[in-house]
Amino acid sequence: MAVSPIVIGMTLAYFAVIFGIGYATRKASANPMDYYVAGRKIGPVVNGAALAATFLSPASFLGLPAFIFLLGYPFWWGMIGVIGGMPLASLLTAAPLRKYAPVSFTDYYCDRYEDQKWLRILLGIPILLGTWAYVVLSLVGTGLFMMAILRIDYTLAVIIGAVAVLFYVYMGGMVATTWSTAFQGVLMAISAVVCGLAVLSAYGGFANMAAAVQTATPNFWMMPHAQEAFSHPLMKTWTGVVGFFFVWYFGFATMPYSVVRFFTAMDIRSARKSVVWCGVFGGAMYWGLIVIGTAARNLIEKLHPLMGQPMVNPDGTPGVISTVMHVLSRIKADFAIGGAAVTDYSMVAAIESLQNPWLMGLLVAGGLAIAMSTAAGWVVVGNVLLGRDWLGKTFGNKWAIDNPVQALRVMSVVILLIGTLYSLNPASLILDLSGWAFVVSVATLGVPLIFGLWWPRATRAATYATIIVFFPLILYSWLYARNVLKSPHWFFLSEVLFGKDARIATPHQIYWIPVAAIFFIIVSLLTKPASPKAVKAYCEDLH
Amino acid sequence: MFKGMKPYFWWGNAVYFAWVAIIMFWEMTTPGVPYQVQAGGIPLSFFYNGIFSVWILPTALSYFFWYMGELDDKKSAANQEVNKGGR
Repeated sequence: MAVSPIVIGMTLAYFAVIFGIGYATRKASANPMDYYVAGRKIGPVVNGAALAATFLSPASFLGLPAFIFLLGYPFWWGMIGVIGGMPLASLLTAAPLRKYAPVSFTDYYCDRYEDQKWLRILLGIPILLGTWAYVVLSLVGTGLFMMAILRIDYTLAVIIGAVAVLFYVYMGGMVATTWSTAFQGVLMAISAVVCGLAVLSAYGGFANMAAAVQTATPNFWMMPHAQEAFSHPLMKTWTGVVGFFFVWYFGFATMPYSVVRFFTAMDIRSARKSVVWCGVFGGAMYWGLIVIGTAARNLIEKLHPLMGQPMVNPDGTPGVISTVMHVLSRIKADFAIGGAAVTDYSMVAAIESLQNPWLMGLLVAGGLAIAMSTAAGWVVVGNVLLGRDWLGKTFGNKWAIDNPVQALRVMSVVILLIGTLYSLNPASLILDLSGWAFVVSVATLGVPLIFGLWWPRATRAATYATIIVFFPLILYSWLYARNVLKSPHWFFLSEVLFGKDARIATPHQIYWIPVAAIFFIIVSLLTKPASPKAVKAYCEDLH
Repeated sequence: MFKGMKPYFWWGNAVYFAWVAIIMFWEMTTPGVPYQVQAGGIPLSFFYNGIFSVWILPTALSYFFWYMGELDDKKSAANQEVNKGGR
């Protein structure tokens, strides 16, 4: 299929804006505080759009419509949980952390728990894991979008994406990241909403679309327990629905890449209000994704240009593309990107079915926006950790202390270089690891953060213990569920507790986060609390 | 624990989770709800979940927390004025 000049033009316009922002904000390198936290001058609308674009990754734009495609209506609840968790941040972390006004994500822990060296090193491990996993995921998303829509070579697409992110992060640090990410947040919301409206228009409205989906896939709308059939084995019991609701619920308030955006707000009021705007942009985008994901299977089968084309069956005999899985398998075979799942192409294929170059142009711009903004969000977390926290503060490197902006720039290059290398032919395990990184971040970083802010009795020993215990434990349970039970969404003890071949759907977040919180409380109660001065300054006075 | 957290935080979250629990329970106990319960031929789930739960409710809750915070700030500012003898 030839690429329309409209699609190419819209992609070039997107890159022109991104590079323009990077160039226009280059003066931020003159002041380290601008480079670290955008001089704490960002208003609520810009910060809210940037929050939405940073927190919502390609896993949202490509992955969640694919989840609806696979799991049916019950997965809507998973998406409700993502946006539903945003208001928590308003009072739990946004307001107190902006009042405290740190420079890096690890600063709060080090001050609150009175440990400037070893705790900073330990905290860096889950942060770097998240940086690596999400930068790879985002660059793969960037590559997939450009390759699937612009038909350019995947390796070249990944390199273009990485160079663009590096350019604006390098030039303007957090100032460039904030403004470009805010632009990307608005763009991704517009892209999803317009594509969602186009899908509805193709059907002639909600009613026709719902009826078409019901006719083609009668199990799509089935919630567990209400009827004998179910939409997918993972949604056979209530634990699947409730589990998916909580998968991303606690992330927004605690994940490093969203929390650091509160440091850039101009004041506490602005930090709180940016959460409102984040909901406006993020919620709009999710409405569009719900519509697209719901219609995707039916839309591809009815309208995709590959339908009816010749194909080769698995046994080598000639055949005709006649099902949605044929279409997606053909796209996957044509592009052959490492471990990307066949359903990862369903979002692009659904919009491709409408055969409208303006929509495809908007989709590629929106897809690039969400992918690159998440990559940039993690790079600015990772470069501060490596260049300032570890190199400067922990190891006392004179060059890093004397040249703070240069240190961050070098670390940005290192992070994006490693991310690019892993993105060129990603194994499915590496793409899946972002799911593990998410649970680990919330359990090992989020729990000590929330208790540190809201519980005077929270201790340094509990923070150490939570990271040391839950980092490997979650890795084990996650890998066991993924490799032995064949999906990370099954409870890893299903067979141990309920017998061979038993499967209970409970994504890891639903049990590991409460278990980590209880563990943290018990260890805190058994160990020495922080000094009254630290508790007053970094807990009580921040409320 | 959570000493100093504003009561409206708990009330807001209680309302949110009450809504989530009621809708989820209704859908899991009444056959065919997400598709067959319709208004004007459109499944109601498009409205109560596709728009309200995923967009309107979380944004309204964030707005409520922000608005109540503004009121708190105004009250504390007024109290400080009184303590200074300004009014």
